[in-house]
Amino acid sequence: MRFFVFLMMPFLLSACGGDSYKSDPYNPNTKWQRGEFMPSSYYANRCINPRSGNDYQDLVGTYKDENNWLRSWSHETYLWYNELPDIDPALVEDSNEYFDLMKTSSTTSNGLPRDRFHYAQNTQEYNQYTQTGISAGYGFNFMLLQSTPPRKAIIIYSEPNSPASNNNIKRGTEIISIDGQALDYGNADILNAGLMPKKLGEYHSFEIKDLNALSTRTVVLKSSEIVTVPVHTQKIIERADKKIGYLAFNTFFVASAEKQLIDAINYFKNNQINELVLDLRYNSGGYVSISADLGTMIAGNSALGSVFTEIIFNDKLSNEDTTFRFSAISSSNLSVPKGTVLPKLGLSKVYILATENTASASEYLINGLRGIGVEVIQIGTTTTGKPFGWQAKENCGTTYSTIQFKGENAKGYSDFVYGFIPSAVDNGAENVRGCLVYDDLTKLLGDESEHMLANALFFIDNNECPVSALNVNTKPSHPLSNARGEVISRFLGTGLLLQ
Amino acid sequence: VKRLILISIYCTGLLGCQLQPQLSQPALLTEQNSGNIKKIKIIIEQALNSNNVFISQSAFTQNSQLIVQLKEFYTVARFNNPTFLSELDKPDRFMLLKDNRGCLLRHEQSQREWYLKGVNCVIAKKAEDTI
Repeated sequence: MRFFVFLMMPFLLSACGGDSYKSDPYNPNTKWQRGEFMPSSYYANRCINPRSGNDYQDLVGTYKDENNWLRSWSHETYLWYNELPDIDPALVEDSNEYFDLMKTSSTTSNGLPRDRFHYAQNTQEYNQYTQTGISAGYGFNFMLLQSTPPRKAIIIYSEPNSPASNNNIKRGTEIISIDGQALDYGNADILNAGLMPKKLGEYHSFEIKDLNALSTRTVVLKSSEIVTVPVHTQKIIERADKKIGYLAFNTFFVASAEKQLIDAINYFKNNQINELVLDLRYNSGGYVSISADLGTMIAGNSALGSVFTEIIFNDKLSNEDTTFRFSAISSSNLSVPKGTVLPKLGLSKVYILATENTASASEYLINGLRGIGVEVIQIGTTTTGKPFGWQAKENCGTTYSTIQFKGENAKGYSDFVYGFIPSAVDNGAENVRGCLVYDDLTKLLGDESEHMLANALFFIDNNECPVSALNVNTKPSHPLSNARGEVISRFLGTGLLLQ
Repeated sequence: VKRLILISIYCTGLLGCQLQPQLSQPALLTEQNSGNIKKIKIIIEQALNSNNVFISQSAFTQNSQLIVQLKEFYTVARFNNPTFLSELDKPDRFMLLKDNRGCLLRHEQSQREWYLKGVNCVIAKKAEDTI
């Protein structure tokens, strides 16, 4: 009997998922030879500082091993691997420095670096997770007009049912001080600690100045669970002969976006809108599948089956290429069951409000719609410019992000490396017909007199941008009516926000 | 007899690797309780090899599925650049289930399961509670 058990043990263990033995081809004395690459797996998890514990597979290695892994992995996966410099791993003693070298030096037609998205991050810092749509904080999202002294931060919107909205903190409110430290020149550590509470239930004092108020007021906010509401505003604007749907949609990153978008489009469809103004000014992207679903809901039946975005890896990884299509049914399975039939507006033109904070899946939407001939009118400023993506990879406690794919539309276009630019004429590439307008923090989102929306409405009525009244070149009536800055939202966690 | 012993050992071995719940069904927690959430959080952190997972105190009280994704965050080194996630990353999904042995958590991607000791749950009644 014992003999049988003993005989079966290797079989039982292998049934548990244990790796079968493989010969190890690793040779620490292998010399670098230009143009010759061993598979990255040879060098994986050989670390100068191996981590201990059951969760890690780290082995003792050298900086050369870590660099060799970076060299091989980059050569296997980097989108432009044939433009990488081939540098002897023995020559650079810091792997982060070596990684920095593993990118293309090529430039765009404007002479700017093609690769702006190349970075390494401590794995423990990187591996922070959150329940989708839930964060810890106060519920306000703000724009940093200036992140270094004299700093300036203005609220752009507050999430409903949050400590911020319960304290009537609205768009246009300025943060004056936090816990007694003036925001403009105060102690950055104290300010950051107040802005980014480490846990629930922390109380911090905020001195704020409401828009157009003559004096400040102080509120004490308790860090709480915040539910992100992706669809901020949906409304119908009635014009003489048109019904215009306005949708402020702030993120593709949370699962509930899928259902909220379907509900919003159903609302527009039931009200038979003629035009759609889609406000993506604060939407930095998220799941491409939700973006593709929104594309279908805008373009309608004529788009079905067409390419929304083709995700293209380098020629060694072409089996990873993925096509997102305009599909009649939801494919995300995030907040509605897979196969849910999408409502469709069937529009041939859409007005998109965008800023430099509009990125990624939002840009894929612009690109995807243009790819099938839906006219996009872009109101605002130039978008971020992120047609690329990657699947981050961990080795020896560092998580590396290097560009691995690009997203092309049905016309094969993906070169919006420095964003889509609102322009007088659509050139089929980065120039999109529209109006250059800055964000207007003096009005609520959806207010018809808010500059970006007002420009869109003017364009709908006149098929052109206003000459001067709302133009960016006009002297603003209020300093916050022509605002530009970095949007901070769902940001709590690590890092130094204010410097 | 030997064949029966072998089959028995083989089956025991397999069962030892992965729990095989019988008739497990989507479930909801019966109460919002920080102790329950702490137990769930520990399991999810273990499943994702993370030491920092933020979940709501009301998780699994309204639906049986919990979607967890990487946080967006800002780094010191790249102060002005948010760290973008890969658009192709699939969020991790966890399902609360109940079978004749109790409440269990299943990680959908890996199909790994963990029984939750001392946690009370009930089978979800409506289909919409499961998504």
